[in-house]
Parts: sequence; structure tokens; C-alpha cells
Amino acid sequence: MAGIFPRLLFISILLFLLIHLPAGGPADIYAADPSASAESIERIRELWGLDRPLPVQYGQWLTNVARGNWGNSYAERRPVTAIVAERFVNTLWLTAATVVLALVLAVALGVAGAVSDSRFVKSLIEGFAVLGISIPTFWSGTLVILVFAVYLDLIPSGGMATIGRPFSLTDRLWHLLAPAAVLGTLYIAQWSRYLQAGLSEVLREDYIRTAKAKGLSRVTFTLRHGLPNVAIPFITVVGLEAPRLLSGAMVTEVVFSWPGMGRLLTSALLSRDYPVVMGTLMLFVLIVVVANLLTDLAYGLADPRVRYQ
Amino acid sequence: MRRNTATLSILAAWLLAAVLFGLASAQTATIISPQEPRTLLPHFDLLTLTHEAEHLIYDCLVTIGPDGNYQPQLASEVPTTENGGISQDATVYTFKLRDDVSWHDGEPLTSSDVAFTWQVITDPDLPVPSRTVWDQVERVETPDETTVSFHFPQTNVSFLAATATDSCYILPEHLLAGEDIVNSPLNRQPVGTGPFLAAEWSSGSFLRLERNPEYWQAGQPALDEIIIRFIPGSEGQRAALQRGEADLLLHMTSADLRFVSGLDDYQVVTGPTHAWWMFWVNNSDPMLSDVRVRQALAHGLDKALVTETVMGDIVEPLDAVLPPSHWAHNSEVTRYPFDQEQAAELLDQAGWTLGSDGMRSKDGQALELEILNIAGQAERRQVVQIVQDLWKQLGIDVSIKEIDGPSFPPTMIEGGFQIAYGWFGERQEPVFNLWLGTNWQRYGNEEALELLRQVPTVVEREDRAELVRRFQAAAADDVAIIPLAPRPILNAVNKGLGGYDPSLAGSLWNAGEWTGR
Repeated sequence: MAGIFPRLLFISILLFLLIHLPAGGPADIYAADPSASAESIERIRELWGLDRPLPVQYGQWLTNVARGNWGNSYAERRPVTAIVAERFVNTLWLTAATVVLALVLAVALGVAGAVSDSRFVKSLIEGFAVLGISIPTFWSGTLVILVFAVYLDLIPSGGMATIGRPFSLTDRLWHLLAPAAVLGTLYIAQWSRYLQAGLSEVLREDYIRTAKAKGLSRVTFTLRHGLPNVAIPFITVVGLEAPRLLSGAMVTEVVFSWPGMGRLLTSALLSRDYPVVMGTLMLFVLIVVVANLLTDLAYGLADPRVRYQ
Repeated sequence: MRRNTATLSILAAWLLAAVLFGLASAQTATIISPQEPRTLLPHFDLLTLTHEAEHLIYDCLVTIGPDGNYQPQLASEVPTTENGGISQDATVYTFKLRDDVSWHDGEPLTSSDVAFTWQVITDPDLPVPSRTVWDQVERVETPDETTVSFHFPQTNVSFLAATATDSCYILPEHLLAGEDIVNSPLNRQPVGTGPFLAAEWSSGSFLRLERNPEYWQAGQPALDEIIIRFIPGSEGQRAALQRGEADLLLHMTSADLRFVSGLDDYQVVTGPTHAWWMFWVNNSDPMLSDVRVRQALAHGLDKALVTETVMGDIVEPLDAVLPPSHWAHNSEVTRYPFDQEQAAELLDQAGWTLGSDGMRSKDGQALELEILNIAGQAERRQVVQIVQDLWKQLGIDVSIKEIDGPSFPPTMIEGGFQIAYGWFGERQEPVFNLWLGTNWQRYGNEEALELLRQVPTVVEREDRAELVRRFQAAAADDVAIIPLAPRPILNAVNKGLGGYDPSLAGSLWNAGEWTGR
């Protein structure tokens, strides 16, 4: 735990340098306008402290953050924390729905694939996995919108809620269905393949043969003795992949007009809104660190032999 | 008692029906926008969409109609020299305000709001990106609640245009004076005098505006509600059109032209602008400082090929450095028709001769050109690739460099480019920032530039136009830049939306007049 802070500090320096690397700053987005004079742009730079040396700017940012002040967005003129919190909740909806959907389907498909004797079922699941891994989300997303929103009119064309209606869980889930399915496809494919391979191996172990000999049904020994033994490596894969959902969500958020963190980061980068970029990226970093921690903790739950002091 | 209950339930049912009927008949227009305003407090952002959305909430002193003429808005009449609103030497502009205008919170609009707006725009401690023309005002006088006059130290012909477009919105003094304006809550919850009230802004999703029941323009707005949905992806935009969910798609790309023309319910309406696509040519580059090379590049550019293929064949190639929509446009400048032989001859004359490999060189130095482009837009890339191909045919080794938007201005300012593709928009009353301000192309014909410097002090418009036309002729002779084609704003409009009529004041300037489907 104590190692987290130096790590975050180091990453924050790296990120701060990286985002200042390309030419052009927050004031330059106005410079191409026919009515913006060079003097007024220069004045904005002074007012925002962008003319000071980079280490000074970083020091200022760090001091403020240490006091809990993440700054104000240059573009939106309100606290970064408010903006990021708003978008984070939206992204959480999307990624949580995706993980749940992907986990349920991946386990179902993985188990089915490992247990089934039918060549047809196996190749069907395998085929889906290969497709799911290969198809990029911007393409499948477009296809889903075209077929299910435009032609069949079963789902909304995008967005997070029906405008003008009070919040309802059904409405939210109805809007979540398509983006979560599109974003989840890749993970369903990866995770189910992983689970199937692991499970097939475990099912050849001696103790499984013993369980079979005792007369346990196939479903029982798979679920009771097979699955727990693939759990640890599977949790590792899921735990390491889950933060990557955030980057995958960026594309999905654009395709389905989902107002999440990915879109926030893209637009903040394109307008060089440094406080928002730093706030968003640091939250990403924190999520990865916490996800790794949770993965470690989950081992202990999955395997009694693993216990932390 | 029972009777009372019965009466009550009938009453309740009637009320419910009335409410439901009211909801059903509420006239809503849904606008799809690829972008989102950064703030709705005017004067702090220059995004076109921000200006357009602000026009739903705020008013200007005057505005510009589709015919290009000024119309009164908060001013009861357009000031002219004839009615005494503009002094004979154009140093004093006097606006008589309407006395029936109130802010969305009920406070009356007065002349001191107008004076306050000028103070905000010119306040050096506020990050206002464009103070153009307003910063030339020497003092503002408010003799009474409905009169405001702006005094300039010398003749100024640009001020009326500045009060009609872009940085023209009047701010509420009673909510901003003495406050932290930069971080004001009005950034997100604007209070204006316009036809619509900002009701709900869900960041990244939509902006919902409701009818201003107290709007000063009688009978307006006709709509009850306007919703602007922010849809960044073209898949989502197209789906919204195909499902008939949208009344208006703002700022579509020409790649969508064919798609929209295939939809029965929609038509493409072009919004007028004074903007045009062009190639900046670095006049101080060692290779490009020779006018014959610049002329050869102009001859080697098949503008019609670009406008017909990439730009959807809705604009004509442009030769002057100001588009035909502008009143000062010169249609008789030197043209450089597509002529590869002529181009080759000019390059030969300039000493760049063809080698055995089909490429040109001079004194052992190859003729290499780099085109700078802003990444991320398919249409821009297509244009640049066509031009790369055309210029390669002349024996020039052409490469493309793409950078992101905010990197473009600093790169141009430093002069780290040879050719750069982009667009520029001039104002109704031109301020010539392209030539007298940024001058990224490093155009050095002082005699020609001097013509432009004279323009703001000439009172008669026809005399100004003459100066600007002479400048355009010189700039075309020198190939100071290579103009490509006008850049109108493209909007897809549902045929059921009534009264849609964009002007130089923007795509949404007359939303008060719109009628719903």
C-alpha cells in the first residue's frame, strides 16, 4: 500500500511532461480564429500561468492537488473534480454492465465448451471467440446501430437515457444493452477461451476421474471441483484486463454517444485542457493500481492457501 | 363525501388528461451537434457551435438576416449615418435600446448592461480570446436607460458588424458585476434575454432549452422546447436522422452529403459564411519565395477535381483571397487554370529541371515539399492526398505531415511549414487578421498590405470595397496563398421544421421563428 504514493508521484511527473510535449497549449485553440489577436492569446497564456517554466507549473499543480484542489477546467470553467466525477459515474455504468455481462457469458460459454462432447458446439464457441477477438468495436458498434436501432428499431441510437424522462433503471439498462454487448464481445471471447482451455486441462486431472468414478454428475464435478481450480489464473486475467476496459470504452463511447470518461479525455486532449487531462489520467492510474490490489485480494478469497499477513 | 370523491377523481382525471395532452402537443425541435459548447457565458469561447447555441439564449444589439442586411434586435433600430445613429465621420455609434426587454430572471435590460459587456470584453484581467473592434472603443456613454453610445478616437467602420455577430451577446450586469466572472455559475446556467431559457445541461449528452414566455419579440418563440443532442460519431448522427429523431444536424461533413440526399425527410441547407479552404504558402521558404514556383503550384492544382469529388460538388473553385459571398469579393483576379504544361514551364524557368528519374532538382537539390495538415478529418486528408498526387505529377517530391489542431497555430507562427492546408473565415466587416494579424504565409508585398491598412478608416463602403479588390488582385498576382473553394456551413434539415433560414449570424440565429413538425 505504501508503495502507491511514490508510484503515483512518478507517473504524474511523466504524464505532465508527456501532455506538454506536443506544440500548442490551451490558448492556442483560439489562435486560428480570424478575430483573435496575438496579444489577446498571449494575455490568456499569462492569466493561466502557461508562460511559466514547466517545473513551476508542475509544482503548482502538485501543491494544489495535495490540498485537494484539482484545478478548474480551462474550457468549462468549473472544478475538474466535478467534471470527472460526473463522467466517471457514467463510465462506471458502462464498464460495470460490460464486466457483468462478459463474466456471465464467458463462464457459461467456457464451461459449455469444456464440458460439451459435441464438435459442433466446440467449433461454434471457438468461432465466436475468434470473431469476437478480431472484430474492432467501432465496426461492430456501427453494425449494431444500423441493424438494431435503424432497421429493427429495438434499441436507442445512442445516449444514456431518454431525454426529458426521469431516471429509471429499465431505461438505463435499455440504453446500456448495445454498448455493453459491443464492448463486452472482446472480453467474452478472450475470457471464455481462457476458461475453456483451463477447464479442459483440469478436467483431465486424476481427482476429477475419482469424482467421476464416485458417480458425480458431469455438471456437479465441473462446477464443484473443476471451476474452483481454474479460478485463480482466471481472476488474474480478468483483474488485469478490467482496467483496459476503460481504453476500450473510449471508442464505444463515441459510437454510442455515451457521455463517459473516454470522450472527456479525448476532447480535453484536443483542447489541451491540462487540468482535466491530468485529473482523468490520474484517475485511470489509480483505477489500475486499485484493480491490481483487488485482484491480489481476490486470490485469497478464491484459494484458502493464499493468505496475506 | 362519496360525491366529493367522485368529483375529485373526475377533476384529477381531467387535469391528468390536460397535462398529457399538453405534453403531447408540446412542440420540440431536436438538434444534433457533433460538438458541445465549452461554456454558455459569451465572449470566453470561439467555437462556432458555442456562438450558435448562445444565440438561442442571448440577443445582440443588431443582427444580420439571410439577405446580408442588418436587422435591429435589442436596439430598436439599426444605427446608420442617415438616422444619426452613426456620426458622419463614423467615430460615434449610438444605439437606442428597446424598453420592453427583460432578462430571464425578470430584471429589465438597460444601457448599463451594454456598457458592462464592453467592460468585460476589454478587461485585461479576463481571458477573453477575441476583443477585436471592441478594444478600439475609447469610451462608452449611457445618458439614459435606453441609450448607449460608443466613442472611437478615429473613424471606425467595423463596429456595427462586431455588434451583430460572434462577440455580440449582451451580458447581465446585475448577475456578473463584482463577481468571479471566469468561474461564474452562468457558465453552466446562463441568463440572457433570448428566446429560450437553458433548462438542463447534461454534460456530454444534451442541452435542453425551454421557451422564454416573456420574450420581447411578440409571438416568439413558436417552439416550446429545443434539445441539442451531442453526438460525436457519424454512426449515431446518421442513425438519429434515419430514425427521424432529428430536426436539424449541424455542421455535417461533405462525406454525409450523399447520405442525406438519400433521405426523403431531410434536405441540405447551406449556411452562408465568408470562409474558404486554402493552402498557406510560406512566402519566405527558400523554394517558395520564387513567385514562378508558387504560380506553378497554382497551375498544377486541379481545384475542380477536389470540389467535385471530395466536396460534394456544391461549391465552385475559388481564385480570389476572399469568397464570392463577401461584398468586397473581386471576381476578376488573375486565374491559374489547371495546366500541367504551363506549370512545368514555370518550374523550368525557375531552374528546377526534370531529372532522369522524373523528379525536379536545382544545383543538386531536389524539389521537395511538405504539406502540413490537421489530422483527424477524412475530408481534409482526401484533399491533401489528391493535391500531393497532382503536384507529384509535376516532378515534385511531395510529402504530407499531419498534426493535431492545437499544434497547428504554433507551428505556423514559427514558420515551420512550407505548404499548409486549412481554412480561414473573414468577417462581414473584414479585419484582415489573415494578412495584418497572423500573416502565417509571410506575405511581404508592403504596397498591397498598405491598401488593407487604409480600409478601416474609409467611411464609404464602395470605396472600401475598391481597396479590398485591388488587394485581392495583387495577392492573386503574387500567389500569396492558394485559395481552393468557399467553405459554407452544411446543415441537414428535416423538411417538417418550418422557418429554418441560416444567416451570417449563425445556423440558429432565428430559432424564435421556427415552427415544429
